[in-house]
Amino acid sequence: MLLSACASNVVVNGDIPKPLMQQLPLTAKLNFSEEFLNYTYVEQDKKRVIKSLDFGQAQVELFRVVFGSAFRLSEGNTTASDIEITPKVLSIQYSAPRETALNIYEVFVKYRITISDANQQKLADWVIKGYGKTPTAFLKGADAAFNAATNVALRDVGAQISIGLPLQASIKALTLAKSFNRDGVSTLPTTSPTSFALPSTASEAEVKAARVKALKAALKGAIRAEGQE
Amino acid sequence: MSLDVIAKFRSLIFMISAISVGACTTVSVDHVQLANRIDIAKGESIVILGRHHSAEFETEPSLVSCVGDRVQNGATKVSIIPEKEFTDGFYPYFESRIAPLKIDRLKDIFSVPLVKQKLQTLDLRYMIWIEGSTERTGSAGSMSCTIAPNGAACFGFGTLEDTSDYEAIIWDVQNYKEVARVSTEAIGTSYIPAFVIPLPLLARVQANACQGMGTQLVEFFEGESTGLKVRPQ
Repeated sequence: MLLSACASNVVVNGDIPKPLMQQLPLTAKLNFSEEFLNYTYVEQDKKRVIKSLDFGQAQVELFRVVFGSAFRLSEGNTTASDIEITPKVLSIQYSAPRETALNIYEVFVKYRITISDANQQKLADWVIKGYGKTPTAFLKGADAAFNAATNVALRDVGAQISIGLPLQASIKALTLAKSFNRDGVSTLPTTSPTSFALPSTASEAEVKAARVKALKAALKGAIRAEGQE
Repeated sequence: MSLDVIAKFRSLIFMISAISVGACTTVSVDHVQLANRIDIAKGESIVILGRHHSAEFETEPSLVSCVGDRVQNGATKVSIIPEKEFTDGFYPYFESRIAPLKIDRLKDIFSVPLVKQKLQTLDLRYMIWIEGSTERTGSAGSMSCTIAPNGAACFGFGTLEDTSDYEAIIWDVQNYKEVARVSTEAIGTSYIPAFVIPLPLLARVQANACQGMGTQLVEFFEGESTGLKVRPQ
């Protein structure tokens, strides 16, 4: 009781594993603003459980690990990149057991991820919400609980990016465009995201048909997205 | 005799009777077997995972690791993959809101080439999902504490009732079939008498639920009392 009664400054230590995902043949540059790099949520209400929640380093680690698995990351300003990714924190909310009468700590975090091409043309504007919770534990304070809940929320964001990114129409279309060799043949492996949902027992003909269907859908989506701009 | 002395005397009687009764827990374990045999070869592994997919489902990691330890100690032929090691290794496919709720979805995940490749290194045979939680279901009594310049003291008596309700679902990941379910319910009352200092007699409700569930799982995998036999390698 004494441990959870004091408002505290929580610093989140990131714990994001490398996602199991096929790297796409694209080079990406991550744009982190100064505010994003040092992001700290400061609680204005003095009656609440925490004073501040610092997860700037943890979220930077999240985006580096996840986008680093999806793309080749370009370092510095000198290297050319196919896409630029700019994440932004839209909101963060939390709740503690004494506020909800539930025996869990909860954290919600909402991001906007803007993806643009090398010419700064916007390709995608993606809003992702992460949710994390952790049960109260005997003799563990609010700091440890918020650290754990925020990590779960960040892992949730990373999971959605890892699974959703290869399915984004604009990313699919860029990957396809990048994959054509000089003979005009796509070098995309059959294990590319375009064949993501196929069972391992699928025949060659089924794989081919599914790829064509997925590529058509990707192109259609990209054309539609371009039309909207 | 002053009222204060009577109250202290009453608290002492409560404390003595509470110690003599002790904290108690009642555990009931039910199981249903959906396959004729639950085979496991030496060297094959099992992973035990907790359900956390919505606000109502928050299986405590301590319970999951407790059941894992119990199965590992009891069923010597199998190896248990720790929950965190598994979820980190297969990130993001077993995250709280993405993890498969049905075995058909598991089949889809295991057909993803990178997942399939990683799975081959583990020799995974069974996946056990545990859902449920331990909650406080009742409390009674009262206690008052006083702080004075020459010290502090508490007097009174309280009881706390906790209930653990867990279900383990066993999936055979080689044949993509649910093979068994184990349900455990444990209800325990803790007593907290206080005569100068509080002397809590806590019922180990979650630990008893873990023990009940773990023992039943060991029986499945070791083939004891259920007539099930471990397949020779």
